[in-house]
Formats: sequence, structure tokens, C-alpha cells
Amino acid sequence: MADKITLEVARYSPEHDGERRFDRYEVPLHENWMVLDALNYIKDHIDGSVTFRWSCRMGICGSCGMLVNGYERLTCEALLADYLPGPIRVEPLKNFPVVRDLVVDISDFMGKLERVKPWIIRQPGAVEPQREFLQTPEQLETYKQYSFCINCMLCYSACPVYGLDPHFIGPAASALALRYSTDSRDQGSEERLDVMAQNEGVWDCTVIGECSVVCPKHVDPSLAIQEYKISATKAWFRNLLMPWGGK
Amino acid sequence: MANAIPQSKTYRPSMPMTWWLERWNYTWFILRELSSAFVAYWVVITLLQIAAISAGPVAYTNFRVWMSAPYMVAINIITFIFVIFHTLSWFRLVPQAMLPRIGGKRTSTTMTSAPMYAVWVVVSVIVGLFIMGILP
Ligand code: SF4
Ligand code: FES
Repeated sequence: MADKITLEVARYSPEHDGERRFDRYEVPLHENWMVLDALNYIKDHIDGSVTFRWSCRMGICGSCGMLVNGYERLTCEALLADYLPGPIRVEPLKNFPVVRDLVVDISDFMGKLERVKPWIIRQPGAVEPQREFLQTPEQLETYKQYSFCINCMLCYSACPVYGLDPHFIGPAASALALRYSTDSRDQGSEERLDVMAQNEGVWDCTVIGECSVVCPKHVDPSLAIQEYKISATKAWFRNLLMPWGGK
Repeated sequence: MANAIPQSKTYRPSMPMTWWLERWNYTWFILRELSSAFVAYWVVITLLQIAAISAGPVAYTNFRVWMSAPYMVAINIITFIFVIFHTLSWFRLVPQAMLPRIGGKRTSTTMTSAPMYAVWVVVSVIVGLFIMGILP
């Protein structure tokens, strides 16, 4: 095995150039090193100005998502040796404004997340249990897969619809909306459906499916969006047939 | 909402016109959309065929002559390929769009796809037998 590998890192700094360039760095190639380890090596030993986000180094915080050779990856899970002989091109996620180097502005995603109210909603006056809520394994199974989302936004980067129309609510927000709406403890599915059933909600999705391909947690956000389309259609028919209630 | 960073300070690479060539999944999607045009063409041709049949033997003979012109044969072969592609692409899409649950567990992709392919093959065989004159 070679003992070095080259990384081509996308650089952008708003105060200096205002344009993007690629800087090349040669790093030692250790068998167990991930792309994130290589970036940290660069920052510690070669160029302290290279900027990127990371935290847990174990695929759970969702902050280290970047493009590695053009594909969305959690860099803490992307083995350097898989990209031999290199060079490895590291870029920020697509479809988001770049703040600096590999860091993107996530405020649009945060706003979308907030719109789908990703928490358990209880209606005023609901009868609350005297002890913890009980759930059967089947009830857990309904939303479990969607609860694995770590908000890494790889799916937004992979989605051309979001790239073309930034108003699209997008994959992860839809998966999380469904995660709560299908939870037996939740009573907020109608409020969420109001957001999801809008034009810029799930109907923008053209089922390209790349979001589910890149998702590191197998959340399958594409499936969540299609399930929402079915719910929205059912609700529409229900309102048509029973305009005075019967929800 | 989280505080947005001023737009002027950020860099937003624009999406290239050729984005749909970047990944197989994107290209597949564009081809699927494009194939709808061929499906529409197929429908128009079928309607013209029905009109010709109901207009009598002369009109239908004219229709058949028109259909056997080399350029029409070429167009129809291309259409046929795209219509097959269209069908396959929708079959491929179904498990992406719904995976019914059996006993709380999601069915597998194969479980959703297999019956569709099976029905497709059976119907094609029946139609084939009709065309070959084996079935009445
Ligand atoms: S759905 Fe998957 S790819 Fe999208 S943010 Fe959640 S974990 Fe990441
Ligand atoms: S550093 Fe936390 S997911 Fe990669």
C-alpha cells in the first residue's frame, strides 16, 4: 500500500478571493484513517486555515458531510484507502451556500426542520397518561426507521429538485415529519400535513431517489415523501367527500 | 429560524446544465421523463389506428401502408424501446414509492416488484398468443 495520498480540498474565503479554488495536500496514508482524519492532519500539520465541521467522528452527529470525489459522504466514515491511488477531491455539500472552504450555511435546512415541528405534539385537553406512554413493538416499528435521521443533509445535497427549487421542503424534513406523525404518542399529524401537502411540500418531489441512495442511516427519505403524497391525497378526498368533518 | 449568513458573503455554485449526466440515477430520471413523450405518441398512433379501423377497410389499408413506410417503422421501433423503458422505470419506482407492511414489518423490494413483473410477463404472453393467432 502506498504510504501517502493527495487530497484536493475546495477552498473559498469570502474576504480574500470570492472565488473557489482547489488546494492540494499530501497526507500520510494510514490503514484506518478516514477522510476526516486526513483533513484534521492537514489542519494540524500543514495548513491551519482549512475550515470544516466535525464533532463525533463516529457517524452520529451528522456534521461532517461533504462531497468525496463528487459523492455525498460522512467524511468520518469514508475510508482513505478506498480512494487509492487518489487524489481525493473534497468539496462542500451541493445546493447550499458555502460559508468558507467546506462549511455550508445550513440555516435554510434548519428553517425547514422547524416548519415540520419535529417533536411530539399533544393537543390541548388531551388525556395524559399517569405514567410513561406505552408503545407496542409494532407502533415503534412504524416510525423507527425515520427516527434514525442524523440531520446530515447529504440527502439535500443529492437532490436536484432542491438544487433547482430551494423552496422544496426536501427529504430529511419530510422523513422527520413522518417520524413524528406516525408516532402513536403524537397528535400533530394534521398540522404537519398542512405544511407537507403544499406545492412546495412533497409534491415538488419527482422521485429521483438519490436522497435514499446517499443516506448513511438508511432512513429512505424518498419513501417518506411518497407516503406523504398518499396521506395528502387521502386527506384531500376525505375533505371532498366529507367537508363537514369526519377527519 | 436560525440566523442566516448574509448572502453576499457566501458562495453559491450554480447547477450546471449537464447536472443530469453526473449520476446514473439523474440520467435515469431524465430518460424516464423523456420516455413519457413516446408513450403519448403511442397513444396518438393507437387513436389514429382506431379511427382508421372505424372509417372502413380503405382507410385502414392506407393506415397500414403509412405504418410500413421505413421512417415510420424506425420511429415505432424507437418508441417501442422507450415504452419498454418507461414501463421498467415505473416498476423500478414502485418499491421506492411504497413498501406495504405485513405484520408491522415492511415488505422487501423484491416482494413488491415480483408480482408486477409476473403480471407483465403473463399479460405479454397472452397478447403474444393472440397476435400469433394461437388464441382465438
Ligand atoms: S435522511 Fe439520511 S441523508 Fe438525509 S439528513 Fe437524515 S440521515 Fe442524513
Ligand atoms: S463527525 Fe459526526 S457524523 Fe462524522
